[in-house]
Amino acid sequence: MSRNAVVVGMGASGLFSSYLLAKKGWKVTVVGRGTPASAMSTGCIKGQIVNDGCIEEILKMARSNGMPMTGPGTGATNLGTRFDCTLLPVHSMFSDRMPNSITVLGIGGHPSLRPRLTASMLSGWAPKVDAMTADVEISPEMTLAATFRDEALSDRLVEVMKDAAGESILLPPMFTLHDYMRMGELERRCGRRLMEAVTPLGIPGQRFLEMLLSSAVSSGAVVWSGRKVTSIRTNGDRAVQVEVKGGLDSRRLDMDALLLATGGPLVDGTLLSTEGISDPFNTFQTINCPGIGGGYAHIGQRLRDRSGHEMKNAFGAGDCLCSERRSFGNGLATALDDAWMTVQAMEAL
Amino acid sequence: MRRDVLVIGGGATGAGVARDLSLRGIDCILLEMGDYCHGASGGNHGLLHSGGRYVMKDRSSASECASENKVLRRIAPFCIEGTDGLFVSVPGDDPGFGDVFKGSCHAAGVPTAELSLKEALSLEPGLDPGITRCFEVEDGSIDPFALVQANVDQARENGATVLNHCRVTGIKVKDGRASDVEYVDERDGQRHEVSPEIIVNAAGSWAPTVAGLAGADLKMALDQGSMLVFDGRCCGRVVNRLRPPSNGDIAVPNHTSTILGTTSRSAPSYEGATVSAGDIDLLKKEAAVLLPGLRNARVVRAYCGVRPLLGGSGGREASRSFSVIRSEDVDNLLSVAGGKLTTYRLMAEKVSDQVCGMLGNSVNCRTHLEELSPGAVPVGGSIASTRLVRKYGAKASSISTSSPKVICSCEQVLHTEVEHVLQSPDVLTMADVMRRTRAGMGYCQGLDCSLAVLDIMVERRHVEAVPTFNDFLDERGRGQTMASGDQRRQEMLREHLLSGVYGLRRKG
Ligand SMILES: Cc1cc2nc3c(=O)[nH]c(=O)nc-3n(C[C@H](O)[C@H](O)[C@H](O)COP(=O)(O)OP(=O)(O)OC[C@H]3O[C@@H](n4cnc5c(N)ncnc54)[C@H](O)[C@@H]3O)c2cc1C
Ligand SMILES: Cc1cc2nc3c(=O)[nH]c(=O)nc-3n(C[C@H](O)[C@H](O)[C@H](O)COP(=O)(O)OP(=O)(O)OC[C@H]3O[C@@H](n4cnc5c(N)ncnc54)[C@H](O)[C@@H]3O)c2cc1C
Repeated sequence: MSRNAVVVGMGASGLFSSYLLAKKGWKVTVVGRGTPASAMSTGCIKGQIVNDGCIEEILKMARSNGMPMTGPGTGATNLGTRFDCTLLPVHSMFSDRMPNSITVLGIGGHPSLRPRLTASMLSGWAPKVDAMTADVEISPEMTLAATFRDEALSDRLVEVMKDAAGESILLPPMFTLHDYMRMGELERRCGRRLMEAVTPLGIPGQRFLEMLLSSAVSSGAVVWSGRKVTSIRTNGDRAVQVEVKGGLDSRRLDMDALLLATGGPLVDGTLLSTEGISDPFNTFQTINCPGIGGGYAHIGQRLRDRSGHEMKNAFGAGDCLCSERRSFGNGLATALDDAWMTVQAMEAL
Repeated sequence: MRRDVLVIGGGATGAGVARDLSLRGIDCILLEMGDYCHGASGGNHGLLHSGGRYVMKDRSSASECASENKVLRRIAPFCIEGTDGLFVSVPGDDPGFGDVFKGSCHAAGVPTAELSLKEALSLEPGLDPGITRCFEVEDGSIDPFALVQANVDQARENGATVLNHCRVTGIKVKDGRASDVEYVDERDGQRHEVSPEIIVNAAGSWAPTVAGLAGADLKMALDQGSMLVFDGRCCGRVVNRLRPPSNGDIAVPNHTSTILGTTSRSAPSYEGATVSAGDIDLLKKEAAVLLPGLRNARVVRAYCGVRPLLGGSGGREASRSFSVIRSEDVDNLLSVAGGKLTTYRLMAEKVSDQVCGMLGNSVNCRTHLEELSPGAVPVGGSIASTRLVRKYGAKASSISTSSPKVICSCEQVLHTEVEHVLQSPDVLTMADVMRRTRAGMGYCQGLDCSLAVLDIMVERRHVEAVPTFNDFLDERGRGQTMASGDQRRQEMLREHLLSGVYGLRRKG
């Protein structure tokens, strides 16, 4: 008989663990609301992933979603600064083969990439760096992805890119998960290597999350988005039920295991420990859980109860554990690694 | 190079002295180590005092403020908003204080009129409905950056040499007189020398250090005040608390924001002054008593300034008046300190009178007669042109508004405006651009517009982008906010973006 898991939070660690659990035969309900930090990130994984098994799962997932990832390597941000990563989408990685010349391409007046500024910051990466603006009329309100989908505009872009001085072209991020595969075709048409600038708060983070979400869904996880877990009921050393609210709807879910992947203070997350983070103004929300609190266990990511004893079936992963490490968040590597390790621990239940 | 007078310090006082002397035909040079308004003149409340604040404890300061208020409204209307001000008491404040206040205003020559509570609440609907008394005074708000720039411009038009980013590093003394002064120009790192007849030390909080360069002794207490900038104008008039001067007593509407201040505690040095979380809590709590809306208003920035107070003791008891001190050790060194932004012209006049006496020049002061930036009237009266005039005075007319590409949406700063500002050799850094345009001073504190400014600077000035940007973040770092709620989250996010994603770091 399959076991029920409730996962709270639809960021990288919530969705990745849901995907892994569902693949292993758990009945998973993942509940989330708000914009996770994962979707605001650059979608390039900073920091060390310790578990080889975790890396394998990510690479496999990325390949089958048409956005192969590679690493370790360095990308260029839209400002022209360096971004060192463990894993990143192939078209973001510069450092495997440093180009001799780079053209930074701005699109219309779109502010997502200021070609002159970025080129000036990039100078030194390659012997020759120049800036160029593709003269296509788009308003700042229009998404770049939409520009790219427009056949006529994309043909114009190819013409412009054919004239670029650089052997590599740095583009603003405008490729959704759906479009990512087309970058290869574009490269062939203009005869240049296309590099996508590493950018937060935009398409790359959303794309990364979309990949995790569709993988979780297709492996059978039930997704309850736009909903919030408001309380957790415990019975001794076990978490037994959560209350989920969304709009006027309020439900209770029983479970065999609970995973909190609620993110950290940077988004509207929940901190599992009150230690180590300065919160003088009581800024951050917490879930009402009388039975749990006061910390968590590092090994196996198990939570502790009030008196410090390990909870048998309640776990935490990702930024919600970050208070004792960093107040800004641990990064995608930790979020994914945590998720992977938690799933191992849940399997051993 | 020989000069009659060297003025050290490009705050309001120094710029005022340079203007005054040059209008009297005296050959002078001004040296400022940072940008104009690098010191207290850029870190203050922006209140054009009616004098009301000082009538109880410091009547002569109050009278000076009252008369200089009128002068400034006449000579520099473009950078002043004649908002008027209110002094308001709430339940719990000493009920007899109002009458004492009224009598003291009268004695000091500070015009005031009591308003009925109904009138007060209809003028300022944001006031707490429970207020107990209200007096109207002639407070206003002033843009110190525009004011000082106009003084610099007029001094130059009259022959003065004015150099910012030039730090005085040494003063040679021979036979009890300062002879040669060494300074470093930050544009090229070169050392230069100037040999003035007279030195005017208008270095504000740094005046003791400057006097020390010549081996002279100057005693001064440093007192720091913290201020909060709220997004939007939470009141239309300056709102003062009707009680003896204390913390969080004044809210000044200025440009797109409201500035709340101040606190008073002793500071180790200008550089050592910082805003504490306690300051912020205190300011917010006190101000919400008068304007309850401030409790939930968004703070975009917290900053502090340092008041140089003459004499040993500091704090609120110390006089806000000013003095001109002729050094006993170095005969041709005059130091000026204390006072207010509001009284800067008067201070400059007194210093210049003394300089003229020493030089045997008998021309009278004209700074109260000559308009600063004459002809500064908003063309067409649109919001954009009114804003331009308030920042640039008469020079606003040379900024094109025909292709209104806005690069800072918070403050509606135009692309052409930044280009205009970059034509000046005074402008070296991104912060220099910000002080002149307000780009980056608004709601979002410049995450986006700073890149637009940097972009233009890279093109026009061929500056190196990374160090320029890092320096800017450093300078902005002085105004860290200690926000709460969603705002704190946004601050953290900003910080994370800059350092975590872009690898741009503030020093220290
Ligand atoms: C702007 C930005 C850029 C970044 N860039 C990078 C980068 O380039 N590389 C990198 O490695 N890392 C980056 N990071 C850090 C990285 O994004 C995070 O460390 C990581 O995404 C954390 O993932 P998570 O799953 O733990 O939390 P999150 O992704 O934050 O997800 C948690 C979710 O749970 C939801 N939630 C919270 N409480 C409840 C509740 N009670 N009920 C329902 N849902 C709830 C939250 O609203 C949130 O949506 C960046 C972070 C930010 C903010
Ligand atoms: C918190 C606070 C709030 C205030 N609010 C108001 C108000 O609302 N209204 C009002 O009228 N007044 C106000 N004041 C007072 C007012 O700001 C000051 O009186 C006035 O700005 C002083 O100007 P200054 O030119 O004398 O000094 P500063 O502006 O400090 O100028 C001194 C200058 O000397 C320069 N300098 C120092 N050393 C050297 C060197 N070695 N070489 C070259 N240059 C050097 C510095 O860089 C600096 O720019 C306030 C003051 C404070 C601290």
